[in-house]
Formats: sequence, structure tokens, C-alpha cells
Amino acid sequence: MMERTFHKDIEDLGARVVRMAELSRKSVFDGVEAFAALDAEAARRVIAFNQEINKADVGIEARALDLIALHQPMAKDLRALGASLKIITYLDRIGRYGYDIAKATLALEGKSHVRRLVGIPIMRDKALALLDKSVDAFRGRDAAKAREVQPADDEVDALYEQIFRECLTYMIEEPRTITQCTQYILVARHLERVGDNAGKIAEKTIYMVTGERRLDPSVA
Amino acid sequence: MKTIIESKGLRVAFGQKEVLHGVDLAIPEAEITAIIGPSGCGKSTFLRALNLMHDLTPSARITGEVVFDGRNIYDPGVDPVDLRRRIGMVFQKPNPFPTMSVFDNVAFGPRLLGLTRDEVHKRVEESLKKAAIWEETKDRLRAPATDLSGGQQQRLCIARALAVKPEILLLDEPTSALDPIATAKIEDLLGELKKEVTVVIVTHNMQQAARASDNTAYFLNGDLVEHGPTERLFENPKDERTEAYITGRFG
Repeated sequence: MMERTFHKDIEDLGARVVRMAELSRKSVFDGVEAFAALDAEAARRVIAFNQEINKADVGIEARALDLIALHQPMAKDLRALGASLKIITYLDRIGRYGYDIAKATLALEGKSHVRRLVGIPIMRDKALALLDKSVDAFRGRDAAKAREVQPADDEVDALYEQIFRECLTYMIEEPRTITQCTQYILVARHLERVGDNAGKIAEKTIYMVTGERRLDPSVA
Repeated sequence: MKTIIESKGLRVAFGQKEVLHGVDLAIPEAEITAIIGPSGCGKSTFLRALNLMHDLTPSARITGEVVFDGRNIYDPGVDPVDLRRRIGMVFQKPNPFPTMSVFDNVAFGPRLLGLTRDEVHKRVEESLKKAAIWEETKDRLRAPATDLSGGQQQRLCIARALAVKPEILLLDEPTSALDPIATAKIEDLLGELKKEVTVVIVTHNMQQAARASDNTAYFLNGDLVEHGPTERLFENPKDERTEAYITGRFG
């Protein structure tokens, strides 16, 4: 089978998407680390780091559009480029949630946590595990693996509900915790969105591999 | 969706060499069907079989059926002249009658049909308009057809084919000798024409098939591999041979 340079170009583009995913992952991971430690310096580094993610987004989009213009791709090539264009938007958003969590750290500058954070790091790890699975599926063109992501996202959603209720209890019992608890709820909400966007990456991966387009089950 | 013409188990051989191995393909009425495939896949052979063009090749042997208007066009009683009036053909290279004027090229068919002078005039104007070449030729109808540019000549040939009011128009790579602007004009024209005539176009330009057709059929080595709605076939082909061809992983 003949491999044209164009197909190598598509593979290279896919590798850039995977590298961008690593950046987005780092943003969320480090964002929560900074938040858990209430480390303003680390938070500022996460904020600055988001420029890298934005650069990757813009660069990959430009390259994908060039490839479409130059080669008029068809079938799985077209689907790979279409999926990549959507996926980098989701990755950019995921990176942005890391940025928002870093901002939450700055909002609590000079304060301490109500108690040691447990739920939020767990939620982060679960949301990032979904991201890892989606990106693995994308890299390996593995629709079966991508299909495992959506159901697992329910777990992240459940954790969000749990943190939300826990914070409400704190705030009712002790109004002085409201500043912190408001940020906990926001951070948990951002992490819940990380999970949702990982699910969208999985959906686009399924489309890329099989051509099957599914409606987002969360809005059904 | 109504079928206007349909091949059933159509086989075409030239001498010992069979080039179509039993093709079943139904062409929907009032739509544009594109036939794509690599060189030698049998796509032009298929197209020509739809209006009895192989009758002109002594070594050609045809089995199976092409059903049009309720009968097999290969039945002995079918009048090839009448059939070719109802199923017109436009070729790869523009081939206006070289010694005739623009007007006479288009008037040729209607005159053979015995139309009156006035009717012929009306028919010529109507056909040139349908082929989107009236504006460019109305002031030079008496000029030799060969004075026109390549793209204009091809539209003239389409006008000539339309002048006898065919039900189906077959086009065999009609734009492969034309520049992109002339090509775009012909593609736009096809979209207009399908309102009154079914179009079957053979093309080796996949983007053209993707842009201009409603249905696409992919031929390979004398077999019909896959056919279906154009958007589906180019976005998500079912057969991996189609996938390999349209993504350029072929060969």
C-alpha cells in the first residue's frame, strides 16, 4: 500500500494533538496541586503556562486547515482532520479549567483551607484518567476504548454532587468558611467540566474511527 | 426515488478480455450519478453500454441487461437511433461538428427529427440557454463552432445533446480537457440540468464527483465495489477498497 507524504502529515498532526493533550493535562494537574497547597507562585506558573496550550491550539488549527486546503482529504483522512479540529478546542478548554483553578488559588491568597483537601484531588485524578483514556483511544484509533469513557464520566459527576453537598453543609454550619467553600464548588465544577470534555474527545474519536456521529447523551 | 435506467448482471468483453464482470446498478431519475474509479476499471465501458455505443465495436460482446423504459435496450427490436436520442452522450474532448456553425451544430438533431424552421430556431435558443452558453454565442451563431474556446465548445456539445430532449445525459469525463473556470461552469450547469434530465457522469476527478453529484458509484477492475449517496460515500465509505481509493492509499 502506497503511503503518501500527506498521510505522514496527518499522523504528525495527530501527534501534535497528543502533545497538546499533555499540556492540558499538566495545566489541570498543576492547577489542583497549587490549589491544594494554596501556593500562589505555582498558580501563577499555571496561568502563564496556558499560553503554550493556546499556541498549540492555534498552530494545530492552522496546520489542519492547510492540509484540507492543499489535499482535499476524503473519508478517514477527512474525519481525522475534522475530529482533530474539534478535539483541540476541547483540549484548550481543559487547559483553561486548569487556569481557572489556578485563579481560584489566588482568590484564596492569605487564607487557609477549611480542612485538608481530599475530594478535589481525587476528582482531578478521575477526570484526568478519563482524559488519558480518551487521548489513548485517539492515538490508537481505538473506538472500543473511547466507548468506555462516557459511562466513567458519571463517577466524576457524582463526586461533584458530593463535594457540592459537603460544602453546603460547611457553609450552613460555619459562615466563615463561605469564601473557601465557594471556591471549592467552583473548582469541583471545573473538574466536572474536564470530565465532560474528555467525554467529547472520546465521542470525536469514535466518529474519527467509525464515522458514527452520536448526540451528546448529557443533553438528551 | 425512481430508477430511470438499471443494469442487471451487465458483462462487457472485448475479444477474450472481459472488462465488466456483471454490474448491477440502478440510476435514480432526476439526479446526478457520478462514476469514479482508477484507469481501466470499466467506468467508461459501463457508461457507453448505457446507450449502445459498443455496437460500433465488432469485438464487443455484451451479456446481461440494461433496462430502460421497461425493456432491455439490448433486445433485438430496439432502435439504436431512437435510443441515443433519448439517452444523449457528451465526450471527454469537445467534438462540435467542425464544418458547421454554432447554430447548425445545435440545429442538427432537431432538423433530423423533422421540426419546422421556427421550431428549430426555438429549440436551438432554448438548448443554448440550458447549456448556459446563450449569452456568449447569441451574437455569433453563424460563426464556426471551432472558433469557440474549449470550455464553450463543451457547453455547445451539451446544448447539442439537449436539443433532442433526451431523458438521460451521459458525460464521459466532460471537463478533463478544461481549465478550472470552464470546469466550474459545467459543474454548475449539471446542477441546473438535473431538474429535467438525469445525468450520469464518469470522472476521474474525485473532488468533481464529490461536488457535483448526488450519488457516486465506485468501480474497480470491472466490478461495482460500492455505490450510494455521495456525501456518505466520501465521508464514510463502507468498503475498504473505496476507502483506499478515495484517500489516495491505492495502488
